[in-house]
Amino acid sequence: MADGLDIDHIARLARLRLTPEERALYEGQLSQVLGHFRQLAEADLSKTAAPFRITVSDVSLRQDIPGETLGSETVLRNAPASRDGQISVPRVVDDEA
Amino acid sequence: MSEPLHALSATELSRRLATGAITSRALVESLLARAKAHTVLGAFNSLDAEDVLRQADAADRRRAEGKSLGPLDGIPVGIKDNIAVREQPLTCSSKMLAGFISPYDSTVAERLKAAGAILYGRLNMDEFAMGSSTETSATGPARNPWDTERTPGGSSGGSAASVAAGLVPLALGSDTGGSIRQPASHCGLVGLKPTYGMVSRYGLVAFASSLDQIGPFARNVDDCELLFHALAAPDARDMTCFTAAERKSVHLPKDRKPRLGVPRALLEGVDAGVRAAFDAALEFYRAAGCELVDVALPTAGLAVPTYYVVATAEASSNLGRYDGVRYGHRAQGALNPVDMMERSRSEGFGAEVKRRILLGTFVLSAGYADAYYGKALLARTRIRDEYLLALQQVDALVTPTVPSTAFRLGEKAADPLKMYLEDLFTIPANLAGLPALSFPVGMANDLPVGIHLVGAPQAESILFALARQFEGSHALANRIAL
Repeated sequence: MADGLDIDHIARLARLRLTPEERALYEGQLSQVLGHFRQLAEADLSKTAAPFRITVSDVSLRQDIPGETLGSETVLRNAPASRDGQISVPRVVDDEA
Repeated sequence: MSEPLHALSATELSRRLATGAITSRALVESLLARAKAHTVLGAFNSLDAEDVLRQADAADRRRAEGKSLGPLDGIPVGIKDNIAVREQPLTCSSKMLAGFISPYDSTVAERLKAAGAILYGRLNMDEFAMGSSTETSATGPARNPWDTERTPGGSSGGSAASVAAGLVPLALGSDTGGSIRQPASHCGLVGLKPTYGMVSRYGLVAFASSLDQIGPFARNVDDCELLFHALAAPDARDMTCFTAAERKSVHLPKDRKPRLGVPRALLEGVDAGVRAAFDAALEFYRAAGCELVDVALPTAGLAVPTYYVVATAEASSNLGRYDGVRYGHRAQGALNPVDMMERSRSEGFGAEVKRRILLGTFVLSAGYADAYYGKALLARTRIRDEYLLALQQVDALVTPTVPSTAFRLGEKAADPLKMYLEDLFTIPANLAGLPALSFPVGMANDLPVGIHLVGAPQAESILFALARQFEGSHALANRIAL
């Protein structure tokens, strides 16, 4: 695949399941976009001082003071499934394990 | 005096509220009726009439008791649907967050409430702010009030459409690569992306954290500046937000003419109508006593790929949190947690979000991270340094906001690369963390054209001053598109 794009591998890393139609569509579109990105990969930026960092040296950290937290009732209101005041998910560990 | 309430600017509404000539309730009632009459625009994802009327009554009561909270007290401000307001829906126009109710206020919501503003509805947007046309919204596209067959732009398309149509006088958007300025340009509005660090992002749903900023939409420069000042303040809950000590105000120098930098090499490919309006605006500034200076920004040509590598890489990480476990969409009948995560994400995200997650995952993946992400960080440094250097010589850089006027819905939806190139002029300000303002300078083919000023860090006042100079000599402010 152009530019080494292995769409199945990437989808697995991204925890996305693609239908055959999506797979074909994204493979084509991403190859096209990556083709446009080639000018970046090929640009000579060796004389650039350092990679960009958004944080500056005097970035401020707040004081570590305990504050109020959201109550479990508030949090569970947005949970897709809950039981006994806790978020529930499908079984993680098999019975035999 | 006979102008209807929906057509008045925020500053004028504020004056009339202060004198008692109007009430906030009367204003909100008239806006609610107008929103109802223009649902075709798709501007709102939701608008709770009872809630906004309650807020209006509270504002009127404060005023009657002589306890007004200031110029925004009783003024409605529309909120993009990726900014948290306690007890209100927060969907990011995604199926992933359908039914989600914010458990807390964003800092900007807190600040607006403290100023007495009415937090007015949830505005449509591209899904998770990924798009330039509001067509990736799971609730359907927003439409441009100047021509409802066309896009209002994106991703803050609902914010732009609602203000341009007179559904609300002011709105908040977010801007990661142009998502405030491009829709402002397409809808004939004033829109600001503040300096990175000026406005707290606490409570803004994260897309690309090194680029995201919240900013205002308005129909004139004064209104835009009024809302900006209500938002810009230190916040310990966002570590990238400037402290009080780090804040400064930068103004135009008084001892010489203002200098505008024009990066002429970037202007190739601009549509003729946009180019004509842009050239006329330059001529206005020259005649008004500004010095126009040619500037070179040699690495700006790499801005689009640099941006789409950085933004998608950050998005793929930020959107990892949507796993169907604690909140958001969960697929039914999953066999195990991994199956649940994969199916929830595949069902909950739309096409553009998936595309960007895949792209971002690829540019960060083993074997490719150095060639793409590493390289993009180097290009970003260079772009920022070139912009900062240019801004030592000029007070602002000027280009069109977008190379063309608003396109037809569907025209670019199938071609992601074409859509990404829409952001050519707006992206560098995000990459460099600089303030940038779009404001209307004319029309081409009956559609608004905006130009775009980029300033040095924290030079918002310079951008407002320059835009105000143009606005004062042209009848382009306070227009209602419908």
